[in-house]
Amino acid sequence: MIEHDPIEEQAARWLARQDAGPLDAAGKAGFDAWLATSTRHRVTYLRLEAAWKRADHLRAARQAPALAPSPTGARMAVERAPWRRWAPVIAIAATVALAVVLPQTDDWDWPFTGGQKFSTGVGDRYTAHLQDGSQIELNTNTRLRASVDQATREVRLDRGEAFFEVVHDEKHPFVVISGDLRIVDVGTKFSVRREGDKLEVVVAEGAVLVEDMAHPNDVPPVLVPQLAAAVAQPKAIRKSSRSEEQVRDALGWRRGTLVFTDRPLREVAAEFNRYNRKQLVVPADGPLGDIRIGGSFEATNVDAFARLLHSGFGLKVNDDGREIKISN
Amino acid sequence: MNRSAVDLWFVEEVLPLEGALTGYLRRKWREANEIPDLRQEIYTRVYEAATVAIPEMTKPFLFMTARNLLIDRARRAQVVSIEAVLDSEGLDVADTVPNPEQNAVGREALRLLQAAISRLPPRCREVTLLRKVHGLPQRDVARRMGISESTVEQQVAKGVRLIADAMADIVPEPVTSRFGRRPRKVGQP
Repeated sequence: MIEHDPIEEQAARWLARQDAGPLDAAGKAGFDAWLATSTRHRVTYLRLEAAWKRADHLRAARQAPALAPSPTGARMAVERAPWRRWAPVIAIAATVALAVVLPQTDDWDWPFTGGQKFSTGVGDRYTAHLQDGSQIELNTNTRLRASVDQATREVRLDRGEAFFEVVHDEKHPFVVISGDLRIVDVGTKFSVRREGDKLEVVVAEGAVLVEDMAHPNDVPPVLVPQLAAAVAQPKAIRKSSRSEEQVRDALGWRRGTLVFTDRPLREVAAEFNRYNRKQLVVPADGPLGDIRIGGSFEATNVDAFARLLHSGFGLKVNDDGREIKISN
Repeated sequence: MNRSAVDLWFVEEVLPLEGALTGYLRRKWREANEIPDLRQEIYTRVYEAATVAIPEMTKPFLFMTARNLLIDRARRAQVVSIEAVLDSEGLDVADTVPNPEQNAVGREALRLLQAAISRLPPRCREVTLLRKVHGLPQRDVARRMGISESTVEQQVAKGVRLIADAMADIVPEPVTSRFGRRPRKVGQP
């Protein structure tokens, strides 16, 4: 959190502007006038400038592999060019997703640990093949970072939904982290869906352990076995069982299909909206949203679904190209 | 920007003491949210004093200034007892032993710097990494990330403030004493 300090905000803007390129004459005059306004302006600017310059030490350190403190780092030094451990490299992977190779971000020993970013756009799917043989299928509008090598197996789900097929390794548990929640694989195929700080875990095979890292004393870890699901939020992890069919339906997206059984239209519309830029709009209140829907639909074919609402349920459908408004 | 000897003194001798100064302020001042403002005010005062004459010993001078400011503020606000500011700890500022934190250089400083950057918000961190670790100019950072140059500039402005705050505890290379700690001339009062 940055403290509110107008002088520091101005100083930072001047610094960022000069970091982009030299100031023109008018800019120089403005900057000098700003500096001369008060000593406080000057010391504030000098402080930020010193910090920004000091960050250049990182660049110099790229040439210093001796800094790698861990065995992981040492091993990686052999496998990868040194610059790759330090510098973000952006590469286009496959046809669907953009994979950005960036240093692992949230932990303290960055940039010594490598990591990969995977993301999908709205309506896209992508399968990531990890070094350890595990696979991650990313559903629509999903972003995650994987740090998987012989020492650690960790995936951070920043957004969206993914299905994990994990190659079990007793000594190196496969861990999915999402916010403060952590899912530890116990030999498994499972999916994780994130909405804000809420997480839904569905286990197709094996079992996982769901933990609340922020409240380890209040919330005991929950073991979610095969054909079960857990809805986890900070301080609350609830478990429920699922039939084989329900699990298959919940994972229908892997085939590009949305499967609903007796679901209110309101929820069905929200589901379609995850996969399509063209959004279905159902009135928030009133009986319309309560209409029950069942069936199997192509996730990205929202137009077909809208036609069905019209022909099957006699609803009015108003499509302006961006939104499809549903009404009675 | 024309740089003066005072600028150089401030950057090389005062700023590296920020970690110690912040620690001192935290111990002495209960209102944590006021500490950044106090720190900037102390910097302003020492800088202005240095334009008259650069102090011989930076650390005692900085801490004396800090102490005086706290006393001023406490008197005005009447929130902290003046005694709390004046107690014995306030007096150790006159010590002349080398600053222990000046030994913490290189590797450790680098680690702290990395930690500081790793805690930046994602977009800000990516900009900072590309700009500082990879050494790309802002324009290329924008192209790489597919965002506008003005967005990059905004993220730099944000990042520099967060890094400056996070790096308060980092001390860079040992100060080659260009200022201060000069032997007194014989006969000087």
